[in-house]
Amino acid sequence: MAVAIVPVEREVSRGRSRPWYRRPTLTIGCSILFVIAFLAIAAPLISPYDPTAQQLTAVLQGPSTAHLLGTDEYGRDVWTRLLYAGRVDLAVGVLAVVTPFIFGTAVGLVAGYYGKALDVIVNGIIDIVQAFPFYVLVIALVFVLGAGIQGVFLAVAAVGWVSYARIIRGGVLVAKREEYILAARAAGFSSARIMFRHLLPNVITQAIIFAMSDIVVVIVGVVTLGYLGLGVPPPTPDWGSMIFDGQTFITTNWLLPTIPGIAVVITGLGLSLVGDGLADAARPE
Amino acid sequence: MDRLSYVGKRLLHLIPILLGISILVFLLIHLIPGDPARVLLGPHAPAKVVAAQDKAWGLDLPLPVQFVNFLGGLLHGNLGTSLTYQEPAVTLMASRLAATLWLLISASILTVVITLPLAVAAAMRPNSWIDHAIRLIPLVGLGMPAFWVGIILLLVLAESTGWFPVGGFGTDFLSHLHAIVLPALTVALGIAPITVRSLRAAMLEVLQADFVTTARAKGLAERRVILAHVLRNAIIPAITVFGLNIGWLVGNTLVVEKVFALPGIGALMLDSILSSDFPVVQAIALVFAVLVVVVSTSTDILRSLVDPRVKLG
Amino acid sequence: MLEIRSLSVHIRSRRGVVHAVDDVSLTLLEGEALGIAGESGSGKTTLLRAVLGLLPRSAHVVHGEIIFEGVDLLAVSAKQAREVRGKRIGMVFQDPMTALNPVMPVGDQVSEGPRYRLGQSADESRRTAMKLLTEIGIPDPARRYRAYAHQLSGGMRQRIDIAIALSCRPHLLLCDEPTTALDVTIQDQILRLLKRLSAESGLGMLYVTHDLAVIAQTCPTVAVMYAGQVVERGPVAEVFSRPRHPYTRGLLASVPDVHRIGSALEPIQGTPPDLHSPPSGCRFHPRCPLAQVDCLDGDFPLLSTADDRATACIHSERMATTPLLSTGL
Repeated sequence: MAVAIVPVEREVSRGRSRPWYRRPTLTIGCSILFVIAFLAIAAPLISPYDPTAQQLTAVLQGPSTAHLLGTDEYGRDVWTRLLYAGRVDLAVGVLAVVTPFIFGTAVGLVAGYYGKALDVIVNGIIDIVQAFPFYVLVIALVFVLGAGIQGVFLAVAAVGWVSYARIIRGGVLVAKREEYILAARAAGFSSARIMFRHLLPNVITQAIIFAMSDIVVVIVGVVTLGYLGLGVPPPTPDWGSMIFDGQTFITTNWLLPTIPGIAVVITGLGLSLVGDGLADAARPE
Repeated sequence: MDRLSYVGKRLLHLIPILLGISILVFLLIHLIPGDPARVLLGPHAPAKVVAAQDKAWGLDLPLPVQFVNFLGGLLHGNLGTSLTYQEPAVTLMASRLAATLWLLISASILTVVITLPLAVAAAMRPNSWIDHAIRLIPLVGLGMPAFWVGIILLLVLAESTGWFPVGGFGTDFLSHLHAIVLPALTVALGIAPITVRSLRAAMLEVLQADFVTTARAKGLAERRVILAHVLRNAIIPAITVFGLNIGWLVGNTLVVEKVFALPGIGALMLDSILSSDFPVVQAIALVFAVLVVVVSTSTDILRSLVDPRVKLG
Repeated sequence: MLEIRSLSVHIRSRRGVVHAVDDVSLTLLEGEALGIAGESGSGKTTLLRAVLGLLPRSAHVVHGEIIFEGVDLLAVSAKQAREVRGKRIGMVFQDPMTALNPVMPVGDQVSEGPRYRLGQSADESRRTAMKLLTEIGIPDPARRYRAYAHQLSGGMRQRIDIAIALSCRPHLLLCDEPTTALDVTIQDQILRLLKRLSAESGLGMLYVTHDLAVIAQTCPTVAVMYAGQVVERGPVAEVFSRPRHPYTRGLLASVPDVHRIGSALEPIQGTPPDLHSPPSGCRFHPRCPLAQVDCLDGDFPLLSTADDRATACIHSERMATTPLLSTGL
């Protein structure tokens, strides 16, 4: 969303078309995401602790066999909280990308296809929303909508859809003039059929590739809102609020603010690798 | 069309966007569920005060009238009054402007300083180990929350070594400079993945161009070929990408000011959110959006000056 | 001044190694103009790039020597090779639009050589460039100096490109189809210009093109390349009137000729070979009307004859008696 353009790199020479599982970036990226998803989903099975249960006799402990990554200032197990926080952040992140993806795609498709006044209005809204720095608008929206999971989701989605609308609209404007669309029109197909069966498959790829980098930005955004105290209310763990809480103990227990950040970075790396691999595979050789 | 009228046209194009931005900002208060003054002033505020605040905001008037009043205020430089400080939002922002400008400018400079050598090094030896290492940066960097990078930098370069102050802005030029290094570096590291990636890709494409062979056929030193011919062409798309992502840079300053306790406009916005000071939040959102639009229009104009081929249509 | 000795260049590609230039030997005398004719893909551009030392990353010389003014360019350091480029060897490119930097005024591109290679001051190099622009027939050079490539016509761009190639007063000019992208009338002007330059300043010239008429107009000597090899060499008039290699003859027969309106063109049968795995023996044998069993194997070196000509064909004596289109085998 805010990262409007991350140009896809063009390589000078490249091997022959390989199946997806032979592309190292895709394979590594998928493996990372698989492990993260597994850890988040299976959190209750992996960790014996309750992520919110305080144990004031064992606060701020370093890593040990009982507590893999130590404990925080309330004696809560950091490893457990990390896993449960991942559930929250990833779920909100995915939802806050999928929803605007669908909505923005539909709006871009309709605006691009019908054009005229509708297109002018949609284009105007896109321009205006994109004028705002991502964080500024999202934070202002969370503020008026109310902090918490719902506010964060609504705010991110309200800002995010315009990117998809812009990408799809641009693609439709080009594809609309292609012969196969003219042929479909000449054949008397309904507008809905032309839009969804003929136009959409030709323009959706760019939106999917963008979604892969967008989801990184959104997850980082959700974590940032958590850090600013606008996300999930305590004591439910979230990577952002874990970093905020740990920051107080940075000199004595530097692991506390560092670990959740590394979790974000690894998640982002996995998603970026998959995104790169997809962009690669989508490019005509 | 000549360059001057192109500039005029770009500036004219600003008007509907600025109007749209003010509409969106104006509508923010109406997104608050329930009675805005009640929500913002809290459940314990006396009913009379709440009613007075609603009236002061003119919320009892029809929507178009409210907007005209709002716009009239904007044109007179009135961006509302802080609930917390009972001072004009403009005055509050002005007192915080210095730190934010320092941060934005030094972060932009650092971005260029980081981007150029990395992108050039990667593009000059494609597929070497240095290229692969540099290409990893966007993959890792995009997923790094700016505030977290700030915390790590604080831990390593301030807390442990004492090289830089842990926070604050200092009192004179030198102490400002000393205090701004880490925040600016944090912001620059947030946007560098995007700029490095786009400049590298642009350079690789330019390196394939025939005119690069012409330059080499003159027997020019590789340094001259890269700087005068390749970079000069590759910088044009890179400027565009930078302009499109200026919002990302500005957005990151918000969070970074908070981490480094910089008395800037971004930190003011976050503080105002915690104290439910709606008019200040609204005013800052407006100012930041206007700033971004102005900067990206400037990069457009700058690009038209750098690139003689730009279609001035 | 230039002697290429059994040069071979390989280009790595997705599907393997392309034998782009295979055992080519050529000699160019001081101030001589040599035309190199061949279809696209015959390796002629790669040959030029090798002489200039600017092969693409994927290509490399596997064998041979390029001796220019007594020094083997392939044996010297990268720095020494660069020293030769521009100052002693200049190159004119095929497409003047892409060969010029779009964001640098063309005059600056001409003065860049004198400024950075000859050590002239900014003013001096500007004067040098202005003089060159006048010399190569650019009207109103002061105004054109500030122009960008996209503001000039095709012919004007090619003149600029030539001015760049000449800006450091080289002794040898490499021309890579410099007129292919131009209109016929402009092409004629450019050819006259090159011819004049070569005559006036004793400039040696290697002129690569697929257009035989252009070579007939500019060069006294021609070498014909096929599939990375030189197959015939000799004085232009002789080679074109009495070719001794069936490929040369096929090439000549496929040129439209205004004096022969009505007579059908006779294109060479088949397609150029895939240089990933060139045919054994004589590389032309699959398309050759004269081919016999002894063409299928062995080496076919360029053999010189007393009359200053050379051919790689072992059946050249049958050329006069065999019709073009009959297939040999």
